[in-house]
Amino acid sequence: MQLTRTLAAAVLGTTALASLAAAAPKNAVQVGGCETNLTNYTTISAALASIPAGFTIDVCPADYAEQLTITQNVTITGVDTGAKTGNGSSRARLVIPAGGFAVNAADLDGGQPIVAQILVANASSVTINNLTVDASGGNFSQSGCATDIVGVLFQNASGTLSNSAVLNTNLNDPNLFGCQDGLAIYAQSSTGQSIVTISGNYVDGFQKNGITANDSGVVASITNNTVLGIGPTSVIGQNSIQVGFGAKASVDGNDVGDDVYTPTPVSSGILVYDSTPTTVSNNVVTNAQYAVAVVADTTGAADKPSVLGNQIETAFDGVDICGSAQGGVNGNMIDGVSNGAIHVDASCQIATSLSSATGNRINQACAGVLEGSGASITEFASNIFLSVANDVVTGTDTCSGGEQTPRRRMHVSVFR
Amino acid sequence: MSKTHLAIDRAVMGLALATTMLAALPAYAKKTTTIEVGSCVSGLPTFATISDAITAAPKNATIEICPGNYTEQLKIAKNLTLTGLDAGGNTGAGSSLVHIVAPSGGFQANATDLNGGQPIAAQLVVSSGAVAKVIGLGFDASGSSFGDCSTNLVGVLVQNATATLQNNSVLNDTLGGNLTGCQDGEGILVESSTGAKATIAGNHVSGFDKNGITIKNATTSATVSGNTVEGGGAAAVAAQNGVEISTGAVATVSKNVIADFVYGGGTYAASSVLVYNAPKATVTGNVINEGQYAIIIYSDGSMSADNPTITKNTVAHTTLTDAVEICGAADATVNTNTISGSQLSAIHIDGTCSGSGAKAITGNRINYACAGILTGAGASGVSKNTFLNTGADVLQSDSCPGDQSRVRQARRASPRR
Repeated sequence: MQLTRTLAAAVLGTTALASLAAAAPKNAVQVGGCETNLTNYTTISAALASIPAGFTIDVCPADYAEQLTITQNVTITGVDTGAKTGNGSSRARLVIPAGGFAVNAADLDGGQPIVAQILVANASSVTINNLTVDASGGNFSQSGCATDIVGVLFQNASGTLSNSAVLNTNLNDPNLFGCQDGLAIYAQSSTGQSIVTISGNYVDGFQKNGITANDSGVVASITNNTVLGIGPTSVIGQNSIQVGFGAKASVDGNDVGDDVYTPTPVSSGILVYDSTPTTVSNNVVTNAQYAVAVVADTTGAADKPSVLGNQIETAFDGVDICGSAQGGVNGNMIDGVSNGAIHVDASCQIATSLSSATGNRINQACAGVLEGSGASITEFASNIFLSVANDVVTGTDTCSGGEQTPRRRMHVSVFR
Repeated sequence: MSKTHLAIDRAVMGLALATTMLAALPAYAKKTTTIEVGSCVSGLPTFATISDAITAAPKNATIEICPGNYTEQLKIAKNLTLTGLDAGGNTGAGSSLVHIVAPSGGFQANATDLNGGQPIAAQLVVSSGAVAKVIGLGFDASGSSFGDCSTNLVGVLVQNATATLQNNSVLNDTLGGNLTGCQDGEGILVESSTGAKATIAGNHVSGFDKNGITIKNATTSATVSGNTVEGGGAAAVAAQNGVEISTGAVATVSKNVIADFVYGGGTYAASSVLVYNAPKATVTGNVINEGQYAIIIYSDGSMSADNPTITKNTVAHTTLTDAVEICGAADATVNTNTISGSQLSAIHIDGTCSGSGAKAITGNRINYACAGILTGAGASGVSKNTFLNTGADVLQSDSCPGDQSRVRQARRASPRR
């Protein structure tokens, strides 16, 4: 019975809320009292502590000043009280607890203390749908950079985060905005496989990264999210989406951008780092330094990426492939690039190659294709070059005559 | 390798390639009335400057332009096709940049605005009833040297003519220095007193002071499709507009990517798509990131902006104002848009503007807004919308009372004069 309910909930998690309400689940409780015939709790934590695995918690629109720790399979879904009449709200919002945020997790890589607004740990099927997770108001001035803040953290756990808004995941201190902290959505793993679906979320106000999937064992589907950085900043190298350190991911249909670190280009719209293979498809990326970057250092691999059908507008490099072999960059539209629209980048100390670069349309770039020394492309055809100063440039990673900005040796800014 | 075989005629490529990337390039086809600027194609009559070629070209000729720098302002007053050539592409190193830049003596006014008579320095003027196609050129107005606000700077100006502007880049229409707040500087401007028609597709427009693409006047019609328009973000000094349709023009704005139009907290607001005193506008399938008014349909009462259709747009992150604002326009249709992250409302049928109204607001997906839909002016046909993380789903109000820190200010859209 509980298994059945879990599966049903997983499917329903991505459909309209009206369907959820109509389903009137038996294995359900509510928080807030907006529904009839369901046991009511006043806090989400109290509901979590009282229900068996596989239940659904319907959360009524209101502010909930709590951090959640979820260690069993559960569905938590915000209720839209105006679904039928329009007269209502769909915002169930987690906010800072009355006593301030408390550390409730440690990073699986290095042990950094983490304040997670929602920690999902060691569970196999957790669905979170239509929640607002807002980290406004934190006070980290005592801990400085030492404590990280995360909106929704999956650790060794599988599940779905959908249709939610994850907001203001930052240290709330201008003096600390350069800390490599503040991840809106973060999935990581130290044991086994964590299958995570992150879909249809709105992510805003993060400090370092919007969506991060790290570590081998993590298999992430990151689709149809909206993740914009703060735009030009001299303080932190932001990434809207990062897939790193062995995580496998499909990054599809997201709308990302405004990732610009002004001193040097290090910020990425979508960053794949030491992860293989990865699909980055059908995304829109506006105004990011590396709209899409696939990068490997000497300790990992980022081979066989497929960068397909993305629309990129305003970038330093449109697609930067660095230390990665056998990738494909096909069918992308790339406009307004100050260095290379497609950069087969030789600066990462590992041989770089593309199996194919075909069917891309490039309008306005210093270099259409920039091939560093020793980098190669096997199949190169059917690309369209418009107002590209140098269609193909080989033997260098910097397009001369373009708007040049010094590149750092480790040129992307990955969260580890 | 012979350059002849490398040069790709973009005139032949056609509109389809602007949106269809995977289509194979057609074979190079030489036209009977083709002349050349530069010398990257053998066997054609050649000219040193584009202006010389325009002067010499017979009506309906095609002028193929080799990659290079061209320090000239251009004027087309007869039927012509101008197309930039790609001397490299998939088969070798080369350039596809036909770089049209400031003349050595600086820009000179070469036109007069049909609306108000302001002098205009345009990199290209298409006028006098001409039918022109301009394909694959790189307009770059950097380095202008204007002393004051008196002259407007425009990349491509279409006046009383028919123009297809396709696959161009139009950059840096800025007066520079402390003049970036002048309300001058437009990438593409189409206007008319007797009639103009424009197809504007697949262009990249950025670096301008005021407007990316402007379509004006009741005798003007236009399709604005598949362009990318990048604004100056919060650093912009003027209240910018990505695409402005105004004073009676009829236009379809579709499948563009328009990003970074934010002006901040003053009296005026930036607009990613501004329809001002223009009826029956269609705004569909655009992606609009980081804006104030992502889409505003606005009539001040002097001309109609009724019957707009706003569908299938993706709007992300709007601050200080409403994502989709209907102000003084009746019978709006706002369907199946995806609107994420609106600081005020996602859709506002504004009762503070006389005559606002909607006949259908259905199938929209709204994720995170203070209010999903504000219907201060009233609206019919509000149904089947999905509300996620909205403080209020639908309010018959013009403000969002739940969020006192974000009290509405009467910010106004800022059409170019």
